[in-house]
Amino acid sequence: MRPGLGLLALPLLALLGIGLTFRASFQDPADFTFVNGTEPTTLDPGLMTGEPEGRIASALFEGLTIRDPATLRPAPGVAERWEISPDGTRYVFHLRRDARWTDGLPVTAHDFAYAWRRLQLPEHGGEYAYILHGVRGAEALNRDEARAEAIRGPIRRAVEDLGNGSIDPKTWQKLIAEHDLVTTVRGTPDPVLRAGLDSPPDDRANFLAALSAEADRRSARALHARDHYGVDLGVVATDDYTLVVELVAAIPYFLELTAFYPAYPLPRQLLEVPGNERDWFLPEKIVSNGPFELGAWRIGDRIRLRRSDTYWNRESIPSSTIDALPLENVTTALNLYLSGEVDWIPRYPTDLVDALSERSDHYAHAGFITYYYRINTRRPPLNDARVRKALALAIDRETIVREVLRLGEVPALHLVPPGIPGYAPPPTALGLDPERARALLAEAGFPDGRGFPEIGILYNTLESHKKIAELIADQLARHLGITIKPYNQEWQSYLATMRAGEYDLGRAGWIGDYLDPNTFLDLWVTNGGNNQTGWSHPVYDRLIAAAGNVDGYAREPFMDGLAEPGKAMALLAAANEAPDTAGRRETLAALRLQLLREAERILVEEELPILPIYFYVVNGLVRPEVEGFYTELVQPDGRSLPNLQNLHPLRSIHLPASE
Amino acid sequence: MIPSLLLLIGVTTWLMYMAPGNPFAQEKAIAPQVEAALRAQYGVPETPLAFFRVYMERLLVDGSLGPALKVQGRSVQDLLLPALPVSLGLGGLALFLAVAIGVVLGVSAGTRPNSWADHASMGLALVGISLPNFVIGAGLMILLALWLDWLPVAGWGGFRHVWMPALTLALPHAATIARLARTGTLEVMQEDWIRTARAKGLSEARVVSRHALRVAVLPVVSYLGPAAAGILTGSFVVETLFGIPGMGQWFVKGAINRDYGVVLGTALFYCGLITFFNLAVDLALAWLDPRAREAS
Repeated sequence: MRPGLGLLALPLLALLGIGLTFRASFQDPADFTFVNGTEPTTLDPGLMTGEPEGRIASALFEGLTIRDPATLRPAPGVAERWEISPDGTRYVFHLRRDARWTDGLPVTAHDFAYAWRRLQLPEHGGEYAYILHGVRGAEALNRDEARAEAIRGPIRRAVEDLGNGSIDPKTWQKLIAEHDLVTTVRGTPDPVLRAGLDSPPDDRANFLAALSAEADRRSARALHARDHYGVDLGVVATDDYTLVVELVAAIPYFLELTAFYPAYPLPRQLLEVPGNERDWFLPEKIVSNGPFELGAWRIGDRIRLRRSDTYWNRESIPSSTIDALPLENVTTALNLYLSGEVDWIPRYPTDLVDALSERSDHYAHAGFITYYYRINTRRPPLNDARVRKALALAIDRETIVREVLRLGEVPALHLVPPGIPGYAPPPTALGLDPERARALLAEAGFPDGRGFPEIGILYNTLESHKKIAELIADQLARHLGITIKPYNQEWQSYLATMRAGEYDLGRAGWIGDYLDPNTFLDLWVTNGGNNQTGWSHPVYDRLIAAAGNVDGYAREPFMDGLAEPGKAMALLAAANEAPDTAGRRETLAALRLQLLREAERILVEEELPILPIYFYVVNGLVRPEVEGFYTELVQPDGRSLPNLQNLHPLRSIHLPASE
Repeated sequence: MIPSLLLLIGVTTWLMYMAPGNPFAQEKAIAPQVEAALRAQYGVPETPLAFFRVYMERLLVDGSLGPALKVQGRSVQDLLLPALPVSLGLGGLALFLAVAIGVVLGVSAGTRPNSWADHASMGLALVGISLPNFVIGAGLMILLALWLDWLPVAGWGGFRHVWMPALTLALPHAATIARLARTGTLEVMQEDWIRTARAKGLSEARVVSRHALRVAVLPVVSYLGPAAAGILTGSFVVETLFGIPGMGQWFVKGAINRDYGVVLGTALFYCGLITFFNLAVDLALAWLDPRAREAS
């Protein structure tokens, strides 16, 4: 054979191989195609945490409630109606009878109870379990030792009931570790019970047997309740179409949480088959209950969604097929949009802001994300609040948003992004004030920055973070006379360094999970997993806890550490004099927001373990003829709010067929 | 072969564990009991030695590369196998284009040294070598897709999608091959047996194609071994630029995500490919070059 022939065979073989990789299912274009930004890590709603995953999940599944695409207010989903108890802690959801899984089985209340319990089991590994920790018993179930308690508690209670005594907590911890009836009885302070152990062998055996039998009965009841009704959780399916949820305390935004993917139901019929736990959501297996089903999923290429034949409200879904592309390259995404192959891109190269923001198909509005720096308060001199405040007052945020970002981002003078209905952030004095900054720094012992050690700004590798860090380093050097060195690390290293607390200042961003200040404020409680600043403040912790249980606060109010005690007192008085429970609830909700406002004031006025820098703007390009895509949300009272959370449910989006 | 594979897995594992971060870390902190549960589930213990044991056991007993950690529900082979024909096909096509373009340019330059054709093709080759492929790719995209509207911008689904990424992959290699072929041709044309062939009255075209070419492409063939392994395993840059579901993305994503299984899977795969091509090149050289054959 001549070498030339071999060479000619190569392209033919290659083209043949390539031809085998094309899928017939993707040959016809979808009704609507969008760029999803990255490959979903998973399609299991109980395991996911990201925005790209969420976009697909809200198309494949449906929770008790949904977010109305035009207003984002909670609307009936699988639950057609619900009752809420006067104190706001008990919800009874009545499920519609025509909701179906794609395999034809009805969606029942048991599917929800099952999914909510699974989310809390630590061995399952759901990172968003905390979203539903407001459900009674959820947090206890989610923490290992609490589960041990759920099983062993009955033994202790049997001992306590029989002996009317109590075991001191320290001893109890030790006993739990050993979990043995005899030691448990030994550890009880009750002399009568202990005497039972020292009685003659026969009596002692009878006594222990009776005690043991009682403990076993209670353990079995607890386990049975846990496994079959989720009773250890405040979520119970009283029949196939009724779900009762009990909360630790009222949550004003609870109906929003039930529309969020961690609270979606799961197909028990599929998950209870051994071997499906980890891959039940792959195209060949998945069973779902939302407006769309998973048509095809090819890693690195696209996910194709098809309108589901079994969805109870399928007539209301305008698009019959939707493609989501996992493209990470924003330039390619833009090129695809410009050449007409995709209809929506939620991001584009930031360098092109000036050129693109002039276009009629460009949108930009406030987002629910804050860009800030963490300060490592464990390291002197950053452990001094005056120093931290001096840093905050020496940053010129206006220049940053004007020079680097250029999309109308808002300089952040506090942490919680504006736009949450009913919440007024505390007034702060964080604007640029170099003179006051220098005075504070001098007060802390560093006049004109003399003697101040060199500190670093850690950021993860990205061009815009770099520009901002360099601007801030320059501003602090000019205004305070101190030396700041920005340095970068790749993503995983940066995360590890932050967690280990081996930084001075570190870039961070937070996307709110639900439309409430708490999603930004509960990060900073002592030893919170996302705190990572070493900062701890008793009054702050107390305020966050009080906001989490405002009824408890109303019963035992405290005023020390509050800057506006008058406001809290007035709201308390109004709540106690409210003519009806609805009025009381409303006043208590306002009181709760007031407590959160007090907490945020401590954070951004007094203590500053963080330096807020700016509030994000959400921007992208979407074809003007696309319908059911809302960047502004018109509320029932006619007001218009920006789509802060950047939620665009696929159930309403469609592209009218071009003429 | 076996000891070197063991060494590869061992060293790679150790390096992965030395790097900061872990497959389960992300922006939102995860509770320690959750991380422990995930580690147990996916078989990712805390120490490299324990991981090595788990990995080898899985490899030898189940013949599996283990679960992917960042793309849940799939094993590493689930990710790599569908991507394989995409990268091999695209790479094969690119390899052919690189050889065809490179040899034609190189030989025509080598047979007429210092002519305008020589300067033009070597100038082109210099450009091809110095331009990074994201620039070439973006240039082709602007020219062929956005201006001329001949080809789709990006994506994967029909033969129209193939040409731009294949060209982008091919051009830098074509440039190198052109220079190698030119040098090879220049040297061969000085040889005695070429003079003999001319003296026999053969036309210049026949002299080049029948006699000179076989020897002139020897340096090209030696270069093709490592180049083929590189080109066939896909290119992260080209795949992200054109949105292609190939192998290249996993080399980078595996490392960035600390997805240990994916990192090891791609390393093993690449190692196998390199070994195979080096062997193939040795065989091809023996077949092409009478001198090598006699020596063996």
